Amino acid sequence: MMEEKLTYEAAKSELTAISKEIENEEISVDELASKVKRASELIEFCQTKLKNTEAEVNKIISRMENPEN
Amino acid sequence: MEPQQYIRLSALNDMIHDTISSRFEGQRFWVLADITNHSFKADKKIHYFELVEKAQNGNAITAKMMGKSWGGGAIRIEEFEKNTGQTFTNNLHVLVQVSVDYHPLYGLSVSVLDIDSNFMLGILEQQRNATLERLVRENEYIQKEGDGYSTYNSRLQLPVVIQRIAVISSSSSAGNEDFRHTMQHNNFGYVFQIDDYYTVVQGDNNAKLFLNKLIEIYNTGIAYDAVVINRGGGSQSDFLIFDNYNIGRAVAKFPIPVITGIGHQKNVSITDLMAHTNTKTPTKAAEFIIAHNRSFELEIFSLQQNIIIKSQKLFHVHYKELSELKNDITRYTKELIQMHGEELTRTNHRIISNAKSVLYEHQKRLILTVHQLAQSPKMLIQQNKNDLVNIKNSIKNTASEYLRHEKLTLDYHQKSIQMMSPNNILRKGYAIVKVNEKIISSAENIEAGQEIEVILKDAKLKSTVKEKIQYDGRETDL
Repeated sequence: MMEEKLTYEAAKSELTAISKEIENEEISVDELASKVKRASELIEFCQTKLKNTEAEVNKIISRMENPEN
Repeated sequence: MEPQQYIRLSALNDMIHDTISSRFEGQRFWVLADITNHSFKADKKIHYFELVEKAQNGNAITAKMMGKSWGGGAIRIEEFEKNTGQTFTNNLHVLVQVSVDYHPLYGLSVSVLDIDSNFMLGILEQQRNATLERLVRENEYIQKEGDGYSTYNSRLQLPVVIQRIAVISSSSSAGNEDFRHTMQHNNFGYVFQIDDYYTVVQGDNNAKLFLNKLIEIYNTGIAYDAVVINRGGGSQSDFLIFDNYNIGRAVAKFPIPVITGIGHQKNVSITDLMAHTNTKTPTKAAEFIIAHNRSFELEIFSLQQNIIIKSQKLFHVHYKELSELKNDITRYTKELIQMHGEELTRTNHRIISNAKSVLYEHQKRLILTVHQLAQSPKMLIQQNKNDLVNIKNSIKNTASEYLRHEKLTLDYHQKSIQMMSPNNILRKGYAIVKVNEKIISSAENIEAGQEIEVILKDAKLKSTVKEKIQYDGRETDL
C-alpha cells in the first residue's frame, strides 16, 4: 500500500533515482530486493494513477465534445 | 388722335416665339445653375423648377429661368439620381443641358434635356471630402489612417461573442428583414437578442431623427454588444443621409461598436468610415456577426482539440517514460544481480584454486617429510653402526696402545723405583742417617755429641757426632 500523499511526480523522481542507483551499481545486494520491490510498487502506483487520470480526462473530453449527454 | 396701330398679344407672342425660335431652334446649351422651386408631377413624370444663379459673394440671385423636364429629360434625371444617390431637388448645383423654349401662354423657359451625373458626383465627392476633413479637424477622436479612418468607435473591442444587438433601420426595410432572417436562421444555432429602433433612413433632412435613435439606444442602458445600422432596398437616393456630418460624428464617438450594413454600390459612406465595421448589405452585416461568433466558437473548439491532443500526447509521454523506467530498473537489476553472481563465481573459483594450491603445497611438503622421515632411521642405524665400529676399533686401538703405554710407564716407573730404591742408592755409595729412629735429610737438629745411626749397604754404623761443620752442600760434587 502506497502512502496516501504520494504524488505522481514524487513517485516518478523516486523511480528515476532508484533506476540511477541500480544503473550506477550504488545499491548493495542486501538492499537490492527491497529497492526493486519499492520500484515495482512505485511503477504500479504511477500506472494506476496515469490510467485513472487518463480515464477521467477522456470522460471530461467526451463530455466536452457532446455537451448534451 | 389717330387710332394707334396695334396687334394682338398672340401676334406679338408669335413674333417673339418666331424670333426666339429662329435664334435658338435646335440649339442646346450646357448651363450651370442651381435648382429652386422644384416640384415633380409623378403621374406625368414632369419636373417643374427654376434655374437660378447666385452672386459669387452672397445669396443674391443674379439670373433666373423657368425650367421643366419630361420625357427623355426626366429619364436622364432619374438616371442621374440613380448614379449619384442624389435626389434632383432644390438647392442642387447642377450642370444641365437645356433648350430654350418660348410658349405664347407659358412664356420663356428652358427644358432640361440632360444632366451631368459626373459633375454632380464631383460636387458630392467634394462635399464628402469636406465633411470628412471637418470630422477629422473638429473631433480629436477621429483620425485619418492610410486610406481609412480610426475613430473612438472603430478602436472599441468587439465582445468575443455578440448576442445583444440594437438595429437602426427603416421599418419597411427589406434589407432589415434579410438581416433578421440571416441572424435567426444561422447554421450554428446561435441565439440573438435583436432590438429594432426604427427611423426614417432617407434623405439628409432626417439626420436629426436618426441621431435621436442613436441617443435612445444609449439611454436605454442596455448593454448592447453592437449597434447595427441597416439600409437595404428602396431608392439609391436614401443613401446621402449616411454622408451627414452629424451622423458620422455621432457614430465615431458612440460607445458601443457600430456595424453598418448599408446597401450601396458606390464608394462607402462617411457613416461606414466612422463605424467599427462596415459591410455592404444587411445580410453581410448578419454574416459578419455570425462569423465573428463562429470564430470564437472555432477558437474554443481548437483549444478543446489542443487539450485533447496535448493531453493524449502527455499521457503517451508518461506511459513511455514509465515503461522505460520499468525496463531500466528490470535490466539494471538483472545486470547487477548477474554482476554480483559473476563476482561470486570468480571469488568461488579463486577460493577453490587457492585452496587447492595450498593443499598441494602442504601435500608436497608432507611427501617430502615422509620421504625424509623414511630415509633417516636407516641412516641413523648405519651411522650408529659406523660409530659403533669406529668406537670398537677405537677402543681396540686405544686399549692396546694404552696397555702398551701403561706397560712402558710401568716399566719406567719400575726402573725409576728400582733406581730410587734405597738399596740401589745405598749401593751407589749413599748413606742414610737416622736420629732417634727417624730419617733425616738436614743436619739442622743435629748437634755435636749426639748419637746418630748411619746405615750403609751392608751395615749399620752407630756413631757419635764429633763436630758439626756448616757448608753449602757442595760436598756432593765429588
